[in-house]
Amino acid sequence: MTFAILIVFLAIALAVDWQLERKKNSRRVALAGQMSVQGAPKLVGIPAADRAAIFRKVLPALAAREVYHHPGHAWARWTDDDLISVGANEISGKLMGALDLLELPPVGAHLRQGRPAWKMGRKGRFVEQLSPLSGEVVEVNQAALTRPELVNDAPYRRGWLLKIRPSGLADELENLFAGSLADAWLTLSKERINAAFGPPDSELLATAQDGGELIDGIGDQLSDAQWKTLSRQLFGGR
Amino acid sequence: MRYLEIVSFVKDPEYDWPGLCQRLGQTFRMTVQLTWPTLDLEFAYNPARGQYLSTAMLSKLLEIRNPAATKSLGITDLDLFIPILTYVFGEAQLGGTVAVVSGHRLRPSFYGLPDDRDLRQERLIKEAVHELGHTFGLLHCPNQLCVLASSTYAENIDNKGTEFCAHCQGLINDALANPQTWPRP
Ligand SMILES: [Zn+2]
Ligand SMILES: [Zn+2]
Repeated sequence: MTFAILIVFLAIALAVDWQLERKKNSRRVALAGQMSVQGAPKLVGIPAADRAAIFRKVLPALAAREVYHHPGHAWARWTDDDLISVGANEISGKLMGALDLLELPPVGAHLRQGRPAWKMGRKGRFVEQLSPLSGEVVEVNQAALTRPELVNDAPYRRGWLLKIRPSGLADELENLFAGSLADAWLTLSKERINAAFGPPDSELLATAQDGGELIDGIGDQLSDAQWKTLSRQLFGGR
Repeated sequence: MRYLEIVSFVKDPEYDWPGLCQRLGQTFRMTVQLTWPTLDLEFAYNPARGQYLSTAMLSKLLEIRNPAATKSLGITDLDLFIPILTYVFGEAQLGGTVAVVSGHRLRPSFYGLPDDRDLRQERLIKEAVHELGHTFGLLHCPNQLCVLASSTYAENIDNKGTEFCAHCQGLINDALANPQTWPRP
């Protein structure tokens, strides 16, 4: 339910951003916006591999290896070898800090977009993160398995988790977002984390703050009930 | 009569107080009154963080503010924080009456740079306008040049302007024209 609300939020953000960016006449974002808002062109009759290649041509952001985010706070990025590397974005890491548990699917496993893909944990609390895309696992980041804290230290670089061969990229890209849309989304998510702490003084009601970065392992400061609610909001799933 | 109360917890002659008052008065079209209460702020100190809880400062401001003031802006030189962030430049009651700004991380010397009075003053003005904007109910603005753009680092403050963008200025104009929508003090 809360996840559905998030999607609605995102849809509004996408629509607003699309309008803003369209005014700026930015071809790159206009393309992304068009795909996100109106749905990706289906390219019926073209083999999946070619469709992916076409997308790479029409979507420079993807070719530029921009990080694409899934609403469940996993990310995906095109790699040199025409695979997709995926991982947990900065929100996941910040919330949990240095992980003490990371379970990744084996090479050969099939992931489905929006279904649980891997498990991350810290101090007895777990998140089953949803896969940002569908595809077959072709490589597992052994460094992350031996040093799970990489996920928090360098979520988009050394802390990547899997490389996958995507199987539904053309259709599934419309569920991911990048650039200014992603920035807005991440900001919204940080505000959501802040809200989980509740107004410290009911007299104040809502407040807005400026500055600073999220501290690492912010989830440690939440009660079990708060953690449950927030992790469900942020990561979806059960 | 509407007026803005600046509650200064810092007696720093390096700040150009008249300049700040004039600027805020112009932006929000009201008279400005500067007060210097004597108040021990240790109640907001968190030993684990070595910083001061900005939300506690807001609560205190609600307590000590002049109820006749339209808005009250606290200014401190203490390092402020909230639980989830490493630090904050300021915090405001959204659509409320109180806001606080810290000059602690606005000084270039905090970053090991030579001190620059003008730069620090400009950052203070931007953050003061920004936080007061929140008290009129405005949220962060995606326009990076707008004073209501959110700032994580001091460089972000430097990159934005001292003015509202056209959209935010419109919202401020509406709010100023409709005092019945303001929260009762
Ligand atoms: Zn703000
Ligand atoms: Zn604006």
